[in-house]
Amino acid sequence: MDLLDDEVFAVLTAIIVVASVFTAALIVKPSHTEPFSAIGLLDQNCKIGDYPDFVLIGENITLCIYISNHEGAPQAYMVKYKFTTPQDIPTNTTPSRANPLAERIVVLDDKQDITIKEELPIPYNPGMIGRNATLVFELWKFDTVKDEWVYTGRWVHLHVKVLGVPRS
Amino acid sequence: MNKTSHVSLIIIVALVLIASTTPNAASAPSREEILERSLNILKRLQYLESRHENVTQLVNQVNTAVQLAQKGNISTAEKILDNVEANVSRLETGAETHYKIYIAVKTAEVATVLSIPVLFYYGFPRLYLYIWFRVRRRWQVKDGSTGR
Repeated sequence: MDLLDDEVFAVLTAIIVVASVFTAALIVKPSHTEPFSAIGLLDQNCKIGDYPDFVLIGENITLCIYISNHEGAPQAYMVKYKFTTPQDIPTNTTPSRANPLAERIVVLDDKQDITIKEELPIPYNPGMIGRNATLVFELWKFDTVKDEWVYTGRWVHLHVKVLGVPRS
Repeated sequence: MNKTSHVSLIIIVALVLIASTTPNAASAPSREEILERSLNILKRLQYLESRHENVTQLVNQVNTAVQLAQKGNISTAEKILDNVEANVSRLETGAETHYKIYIAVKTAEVATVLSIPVLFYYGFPRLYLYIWFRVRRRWQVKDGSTGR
């Protein structure tokens, strides 16, 4: 007398084996299969949308920068602010050639993010009045093995028109 | 003592006085030194994180120190880093032991999960039979040939 059907038992065993192996894989798999860092540009109220269309030379502009760490370990990030031409924006391998006008360092744990509000200087260059310019924010990361700052390949930029300060 | 000796003595005394007052100024770290120290602590925090230690609070404190240093508040930043370094040193002493315990727990979890199919293969037919007979234990066998 075979009370438990062999085929039913085989199917149940197969389901249990697959579920067990899948669960074991979930336990041993690394928590970060694809580490990444992120940078975002927000307006002066630290929201998406109300970005300035123009800047005044020699004045400051307020913007917010969002940084997120998903590298699987604590990281030190440096945001380099550059004021340059639309032709000189970075790529995902090379930073912009322009010199940074401001730098801000933050240290974030894994899965942490931060939004920083910055007063950014617009250089006084009357030759730029009436021309297009680009505000570039590059994300650099401190490589603790090489002991140096390395460009992450992540950046954000904002194209603006440069205007002169109206004289009273 | 001649006049030259007096001048030399005054110069030496002046130099000693200057040297005795400058160490405080020289020992006060600069913004760059604080940032460099923060990055060194970061390396140690990365090691602790790799050992599955919870370092979120310490990372937040390092970030606070970095922000203060960038705003020029060096002394407060230095105090925070002193505190963080003390905590990091304390965590480092037990990190390897904690990591071994973590690995042992993970191994036990995986072994338990992988043993379920084996237990099912040998245990389920016996359990099924037990339940099957238990459910039917009051059943009576009747002779159907008499037509009753």
